[in-house]
Amino acid sequence: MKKNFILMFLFTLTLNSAHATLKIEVTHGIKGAMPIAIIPFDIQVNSFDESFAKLISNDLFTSGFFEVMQSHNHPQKVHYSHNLKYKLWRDAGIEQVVVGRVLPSIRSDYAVEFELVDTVRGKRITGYKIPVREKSFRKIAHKISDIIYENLTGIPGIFGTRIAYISSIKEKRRKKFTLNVADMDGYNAVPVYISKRELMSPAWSPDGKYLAYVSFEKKRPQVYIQNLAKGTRMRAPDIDNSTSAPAWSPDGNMLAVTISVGNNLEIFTYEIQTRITKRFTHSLGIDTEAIWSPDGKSIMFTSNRSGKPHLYKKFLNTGKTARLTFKGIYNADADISPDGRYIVMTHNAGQGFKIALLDTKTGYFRVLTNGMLDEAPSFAPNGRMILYATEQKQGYGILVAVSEDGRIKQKLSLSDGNVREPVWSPYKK
Amino acid sequence: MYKKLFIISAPFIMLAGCTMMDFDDAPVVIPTEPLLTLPEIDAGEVAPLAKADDIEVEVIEDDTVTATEEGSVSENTLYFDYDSAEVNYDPTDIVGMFSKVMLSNTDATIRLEGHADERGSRAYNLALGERRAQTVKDLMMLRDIEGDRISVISYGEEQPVATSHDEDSWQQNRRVEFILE
Repeated sequence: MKKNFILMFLFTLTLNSAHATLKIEVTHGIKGAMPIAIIPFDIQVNSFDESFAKLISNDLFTSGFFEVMQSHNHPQKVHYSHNLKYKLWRDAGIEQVVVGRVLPSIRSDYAVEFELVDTVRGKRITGYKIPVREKSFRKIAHKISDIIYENLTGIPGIFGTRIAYISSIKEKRRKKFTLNVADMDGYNAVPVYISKRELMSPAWSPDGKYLAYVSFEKKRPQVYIQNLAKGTRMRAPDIDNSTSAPAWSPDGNMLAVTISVGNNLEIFTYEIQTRITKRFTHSLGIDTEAIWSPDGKSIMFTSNRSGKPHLYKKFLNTGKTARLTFKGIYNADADISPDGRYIVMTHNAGQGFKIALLDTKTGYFRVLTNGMLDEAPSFAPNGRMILYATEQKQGYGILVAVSEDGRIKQKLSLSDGNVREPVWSPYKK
Repeated sequence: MYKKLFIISAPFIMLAGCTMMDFDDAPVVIPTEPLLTLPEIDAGEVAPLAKADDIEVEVIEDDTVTATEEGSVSENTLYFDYDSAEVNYDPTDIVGMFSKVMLSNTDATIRLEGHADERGSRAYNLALGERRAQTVKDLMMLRDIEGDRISVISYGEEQPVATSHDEDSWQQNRRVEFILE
């Protein structure tokens, strides 16, 4: 009854600050994804020229959970659920349809109404009316995508979230580095810090209001915390040693940072309000890249104490340390899923650098990607998508969706040359 | 050096299967339930640009400094094996040369800048570059140079001298540079 759709969308979106383009190109059909159709909304407002259906389709498709029917295949072009002929849609293999309309409004610039309809039961699953102010089209459309996604999968959506990343421009001998914040689809990129010296390691605070990052503005790596709404920033900790690899505690009160002390690099915890700094690791060799567990009870980090970089976990109360990775010759750069169960990392077993996933509950270890220089993986706040950076020799981008058995199906990429270290924001609180 | 950002998504098993129902499809006006109303969503906070100390671009100075008394240009860079901070190659005794200069110029200070190739994690490479520079500092201190005259800094993989994605470039980037001040 369900058909497998082979989709060949090509969207080109533009990032303002870094001259980047976002290309989505599907190379394989998606088995087992939910077939859905988003009928172009009825526009009853003269000046309105955006497409809700297009943006919502893009979002749902990107998630990997949905096969979105192209509009030229729609058996009907209606805008209210009561006008749907359900059998036509069921015969076309579509179990969910979204209809909508953009209407004038007295209280706001316009209002958008949408309905998510189940063609099998022949009834509306949910529907909303949303007053909209000028210029918030993308935000509203992403919100609608979130509602649809969550209704149909039971998982919170991530379409209203943001990403931070570093971009750099080098012209002849001049360099400029920028810390950017953009929507998760790459739109609306805003530079939040620009420097003539290197920037690295952005990290979102748990409430999404701050970014910690490393800046070389004082000619050595140092960690700064920046308030995104105000633009104010402070060095944290406020010391002249080289500091790097900041990570936030789940309550937002502390950072774990790597500090160069004497002739060694160790991880410290730093309490932001009190400035109390406590040493956390005590080994010879490199200890860096701290990541707090979501329950706040342990810190995962990269150490080469065994001879090669591997991931370790140390509990804050007992001080007990356990090694987490044993496969391959390199495991670093880790992130942990919001439920604490999965760890994603940069991994090398002799075939190049790839992204790998460890299920800490079962011990199952799986390589997810097949590049040679993949790095910097970051979980989405719903734990269902992973963003990472890779080198590409050709210029085109591919969309990657990993199904639950680890097979890669789709790839999404920002095809600007100078983008690095992406980090996914948390949900807003 | 070109990097792309990728997203992987992880769908789980689909929701419980649909049951087919007989359904009378004659057009019927279904009384619509009122739609829920979402509160107005504001356009989103703007994240203003933080004041950077100095954001005009500048030409980066070439900091290489000669170290020999003869006045000819000599090397100021040591190279390292992959993922290693051990000094295994110093055929021209750069460490000895700079230590000699430091001993005879007691006012001079030196900066050791550690670097790594692009492979793997940036933060780990920052640490690796620092370990490399620190190893060289230790060697100079063994030659009686005071530690407070030697500063150590790492740039990790952020300042490569060669940018092709192959061993030729990587090998040139795994280095410590000696910069007399």
